[in-house]
Amino acid sequence: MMRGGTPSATGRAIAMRRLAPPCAAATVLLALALPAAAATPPAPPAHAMQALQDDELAAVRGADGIAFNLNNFSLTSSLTNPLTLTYASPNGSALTLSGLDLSRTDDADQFADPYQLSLRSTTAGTQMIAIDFPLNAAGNQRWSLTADFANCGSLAAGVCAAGTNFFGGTLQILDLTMKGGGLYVAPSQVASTEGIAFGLGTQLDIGSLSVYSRGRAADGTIDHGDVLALSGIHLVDATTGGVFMLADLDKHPGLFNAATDATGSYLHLQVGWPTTSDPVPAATLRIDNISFTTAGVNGAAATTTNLGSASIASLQINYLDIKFRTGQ
Amino acid sequence: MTTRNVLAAHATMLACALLVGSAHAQDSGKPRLKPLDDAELSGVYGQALLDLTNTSQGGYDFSRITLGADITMSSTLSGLVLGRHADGTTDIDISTLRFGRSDLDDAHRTVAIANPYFEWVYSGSAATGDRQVVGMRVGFGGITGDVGLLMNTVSGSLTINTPSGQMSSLGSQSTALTGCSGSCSLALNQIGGVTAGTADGASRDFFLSILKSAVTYPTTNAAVGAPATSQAGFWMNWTDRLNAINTTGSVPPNVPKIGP
Repeated sequence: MMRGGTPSATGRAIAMRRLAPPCAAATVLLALALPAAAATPPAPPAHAMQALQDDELAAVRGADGIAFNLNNFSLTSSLTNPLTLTYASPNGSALTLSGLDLSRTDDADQFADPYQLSLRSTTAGTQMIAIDFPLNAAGNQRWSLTADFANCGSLAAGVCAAGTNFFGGTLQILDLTMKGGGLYVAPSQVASTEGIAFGLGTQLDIGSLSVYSRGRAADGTIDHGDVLALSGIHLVDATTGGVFMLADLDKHPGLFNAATDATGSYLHLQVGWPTTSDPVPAATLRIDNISFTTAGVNGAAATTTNLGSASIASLQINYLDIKFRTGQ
Repeated sequence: MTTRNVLAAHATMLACALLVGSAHAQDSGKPRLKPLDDAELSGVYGQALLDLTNTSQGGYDFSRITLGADITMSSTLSGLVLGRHADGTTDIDISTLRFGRSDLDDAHRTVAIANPYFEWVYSGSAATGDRQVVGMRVGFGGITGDVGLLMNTVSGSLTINTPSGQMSSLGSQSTALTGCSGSCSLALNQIGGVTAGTADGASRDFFLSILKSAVTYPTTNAAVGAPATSQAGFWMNWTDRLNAINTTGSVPPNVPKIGP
């Protein structure tokens, strides 16, 4: 796959590479077999292609990663025996998500804007696994999620004791789009610290996040009689208006590991201090509207409590360290 | 697959992660991390990661999810506007919010947060057909450290120790603290920040809520007692173990340090 400048014939079978800037192996390679040419080649323009020697060629992995898409993706729970996730706490309580439905809309061309999985080099020279998200500029790839949630105060043998269940109703997220960014994973680059280093970022937009307190009917229809709705949720980079990088392998790496200190063992998630003098990325978070709406009774008009909008003009996380205590 | 099993899978993945990377001499001053052996790892599957508490009070049902986590962070927020209404008024308007400061030593660079939680408030019941979501709040079991603030408007309950004594604000869209038994006041934007926590421990009653109607939340710490009734809209509660950093409106800087 060629992503460099215009090649020039050199009179022999050649493999070519783009000179500058140095790029990941997956993008710099071009192998061509051209007929002999007698003419002296012109001076190469900037970013022209250059012949590779055999030993250089031997180091070339002719792969461009894996591109994949999730066209027509849909996960729908059975109405009578729905998909259920349960977290059972050691104190006997439990958090349950059930009736999970997840789906996505697509681009007209399913191959035009896929996810891309590749192996690339970090600035430090280590290898990273990169999952680049679709650019999704038109916002055609939109996710939707629906699930019922409940918190049980006392779960025994898989059954919630009478009177201890808090049924929250149905959570619905509509039109969630991620535009660009990705997830990047590498060995930890921090001295004396083992674990998985990561970079993570995207531009996030959510059409609405709603909680319907009365849940769904037996046929799966949501009861819209009462709802808390957060409409128009947007997370972007405060400077560019595009992808916000929460963690960056080259400048502001994240870390995920498990460890033990004097207080016990814990799962550990961290976004470390920046490793360069570049400004820490800042995000802008905006919620266009927050409202509660309850249907009227006996023909009365619905009651709406409108809390207005909410926003954070700039959110800059210099350092974040979370230790999830595991009760050890 | 249950959440517990998912966490077990995570723990297994992390065991693999511990094999990644190279061993280097331990830097002094850094938390000393060490790999878990199989026996230790077999006991790590996220138990007690979440604590769930359901209560009923004053005709409302509350359901709280507490994350068993210790958080340390340095962050800077600006232009925090919560509850901006069509008439231009705002429930909470904080121009600058900085967790940590960079003008002192490393210990002051970060703020520590323990046991963050999320709590739903509902009323009515499905059986009677009047179930309603009334609101929710997020809060911390404890917070310790210097928090730079430039507050313009706050709807909520605040109590801060100042050089003029303890001063408070209670109500919607407040712009000042009052003290001296009500005879003196201090504009909110003259508080350059607060030191959360004292030698006795962390500040224990911070929460931020959104509500459709007034609610008195249950206490999360019996030693602190029940919070003031939260009103409709955005509402911030923070009254425990807070000392003003200054009353000049000067917010300490929070420039990140460079390095791992």
